[in-house]
Amino acid sequence: MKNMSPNRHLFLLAFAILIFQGCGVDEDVVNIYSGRHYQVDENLFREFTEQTGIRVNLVKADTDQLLNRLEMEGANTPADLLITADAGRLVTASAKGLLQPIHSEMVDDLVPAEHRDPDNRWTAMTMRARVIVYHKDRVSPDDLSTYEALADPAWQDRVLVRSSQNHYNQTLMASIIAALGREDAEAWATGLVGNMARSPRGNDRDQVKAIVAGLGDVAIVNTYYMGLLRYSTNPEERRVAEQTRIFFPNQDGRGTHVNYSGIGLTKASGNIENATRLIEFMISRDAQQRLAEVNHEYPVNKEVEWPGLLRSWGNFKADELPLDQLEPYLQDAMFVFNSAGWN
Amino acid sequence: MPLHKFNFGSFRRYTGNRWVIWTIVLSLMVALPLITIAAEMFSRGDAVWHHILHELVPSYATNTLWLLFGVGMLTITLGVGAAWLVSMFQFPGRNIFRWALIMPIAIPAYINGFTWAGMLDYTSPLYTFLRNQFGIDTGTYLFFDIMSLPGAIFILSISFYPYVYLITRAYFQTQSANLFEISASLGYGPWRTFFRTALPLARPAIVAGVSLALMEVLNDYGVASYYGVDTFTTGIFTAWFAFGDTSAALKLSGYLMVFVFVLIFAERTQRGQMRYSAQGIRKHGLTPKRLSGTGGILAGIFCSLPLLAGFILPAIMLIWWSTQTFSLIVDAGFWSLLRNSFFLAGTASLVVVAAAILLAYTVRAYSGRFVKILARITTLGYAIPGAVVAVGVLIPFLWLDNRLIQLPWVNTLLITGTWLALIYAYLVRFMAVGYNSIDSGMEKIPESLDEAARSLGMTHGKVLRKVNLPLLTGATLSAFLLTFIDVLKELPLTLILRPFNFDTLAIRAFEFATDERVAEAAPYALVIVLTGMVPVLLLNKYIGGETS
Repeated sequence: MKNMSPNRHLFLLAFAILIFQGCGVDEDVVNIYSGRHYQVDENLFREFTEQTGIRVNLVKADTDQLLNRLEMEGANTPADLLITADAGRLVTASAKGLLQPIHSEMVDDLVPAEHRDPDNRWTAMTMRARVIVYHKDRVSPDDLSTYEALADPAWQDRVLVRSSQNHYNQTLMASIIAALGREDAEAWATGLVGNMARSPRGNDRDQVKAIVAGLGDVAIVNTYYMGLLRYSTNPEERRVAEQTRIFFPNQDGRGTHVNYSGIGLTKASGNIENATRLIEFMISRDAQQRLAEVNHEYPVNKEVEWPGLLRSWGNFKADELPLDQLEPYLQDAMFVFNSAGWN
Repeated sequence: MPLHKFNFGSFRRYTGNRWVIWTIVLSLMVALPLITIAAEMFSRGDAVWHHILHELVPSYATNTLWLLFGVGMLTITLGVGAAWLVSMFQFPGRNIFRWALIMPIAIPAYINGFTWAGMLDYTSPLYTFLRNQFGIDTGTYLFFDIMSLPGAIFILSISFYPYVYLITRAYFQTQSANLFEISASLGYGPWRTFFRTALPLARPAIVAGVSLALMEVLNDYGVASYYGVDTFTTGIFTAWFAFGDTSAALKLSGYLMVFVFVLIFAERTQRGQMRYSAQGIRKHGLTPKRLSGTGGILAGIFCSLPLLAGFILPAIMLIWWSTQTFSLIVDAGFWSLLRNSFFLAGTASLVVVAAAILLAYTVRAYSGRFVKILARITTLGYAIPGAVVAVGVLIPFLWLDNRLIQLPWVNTLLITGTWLALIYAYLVRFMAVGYNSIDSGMEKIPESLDEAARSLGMTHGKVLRKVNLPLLTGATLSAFLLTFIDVLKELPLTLILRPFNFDTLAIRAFEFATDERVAEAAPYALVIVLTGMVPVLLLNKYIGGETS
């Protein structure tokens, strides 16, 4: 058939391209799957390349998709590092056997042990507290105490929080189950749903705006997003930030729930040395300072001072339960959300 | 071979015919990931599956049905109504509406969702203005809470009605004027002509358009999740991401495909043996009637509503945001984003259109049931979330890759993570867009033409090239351009399957938007819109049918 030969050529060409890619020359690289989508991360990677000559290859996607792909690729994955914006996902990756221990004295020295996996299969890179945000006039901080107290009838129709589809809420719920047990957590969730000013919708920023709009009085929000509002390009959003305050709950008890962005070393990594250097670079003083300043995240390097905005929110006690122990509760969290009707 | 021999539809008849074999091979390739997903339906469900099935699916599915119903009605009203008006009548602004009504398709639905929410929230320019200038208490919603089920119906309708408009308009304009003239000569007024003649005749076109719109509704996750509307697709993601149960997610997707498949076949069966090809090619086109006075103004208002809601207002908002954040775009490797987006969209559209033509022609030439069903299966990738299609693509690819890597001269995964894998994934995903356009175009070509050509001894290749393709120029172009715009906007597949260090415009916009930085996302969204306008304008030029 005369149509056959162009087809065959195309096929051979495609195949040749694939082979060519497959046999690429080995060079100094580190391959990253990242669920964080920040310009500051990419700028830091670029500086890492300038300093070390190691090329950074990056795929950014939804964390869950990346986790899924990593799992499916198994021993042949090109990825050396997995970066996520949620500790729950790192814990899951670790439980699925996708990670291996990081060997770095620098990480051991600079990152407090409670912010790392006990076997060092991942380390936190930055932290965000999940706090209660309240309206500065309508709510007195004296009225606030714990996450649990938000389920009290006093808060009827006043609480704003986003959907249970959100990672931060899922990890928060896992921490509450860990603290209270599943039954009490369910009672809490049911009480909270009863107190919601509206059914969950929108993102964290939308909850804060809804406070100022008068829809509710308190919201459960990540500190990071308060930073974004505070430095927004839209003056009205900055005004929203000015009318609200941050409260760190559970200070007299277990402490405020803190979530991590973190890095894990993949079990199949073919560039362990380069990958370790990149982790060390991200933990280093300079990088940590930049992440804290530009991205309003808490540094994990204990030698790095907090920038002004974070200091202005004040010191707080963080939940001491190591996040790797949340693994058994992550799935329970979804059952609790669903039975409480927290969509 | 005499033609009637092909009308039995038994698989045995095909064997030995190279043309059909190639089509089947191609279709199976496209269908493979979808079949992989659907196969999961037969696996046993675990505790998570039962929990989701009993606790979540009933209410989620109800929401989805409401969405389908609402968006279906609204897109038909807007799309067919506007198509009829601009095809049949001359009224103020018509020449602008003709092409401008397609524009909303250039804005990704989730961007429309974010933008409308941003237009009606506390810090929006409108509310800020009302608050600061007039002291109006804008606290509670002034108009209506857009983050709701009706709000989601609104957003999805204004985003997807162009599918209906475009395909129906192309149909009206290539339709012989005779039919409508006959209707008029029988004393039918314009309303009766519309409801009794035009609407029933345009059925294949309307169905093609609406089914694209509704499949988009089914695969949508961005708008629904942001607006807090739990849909069937939310259930898929809850299963997959929140519970970490991939199997349950694939199962749910399988059921979604079965649902769509049944709907498509029900419609086809109900349509029965009706033929929609006009006897003879059109003799002369329509001459639009002048609408003056109130009629003209009403027509103008009808056409401007979807245009305002779906394009002009969101575009103004995006521009307003961009003025705040435009400096960001300069240093961000903007040209490589544009190049990547164009490269992917162009290549993928070519592949999709070629495959769609081959498939549609084979279905036409050999009216066998096997090929027909296969063709329909290949279009189901449009109805399920892109992230799930990605899993369906990854499973066979990784299977192959994990075997290839054992060859001595291969040291990495060959296919996964290359742009070839991505193009293939687009083919699986967007086959419906190509196929629906081409198929409804072919419906209009009388089969007697093919039969005549065949009886003159032409091969199938020749019939396709010499007879069908020239008459399909409009449909081919619209298939190409619709796919092009879709790939330009596509997210979940591109996100997970792209090669290292490969960004597109849609990805950049998305990264900012998911990070709750809509204003920063705006410049990229605006560029997607501007880029999308090029194919939209081309689309208008070539399928207009009119040469005015």
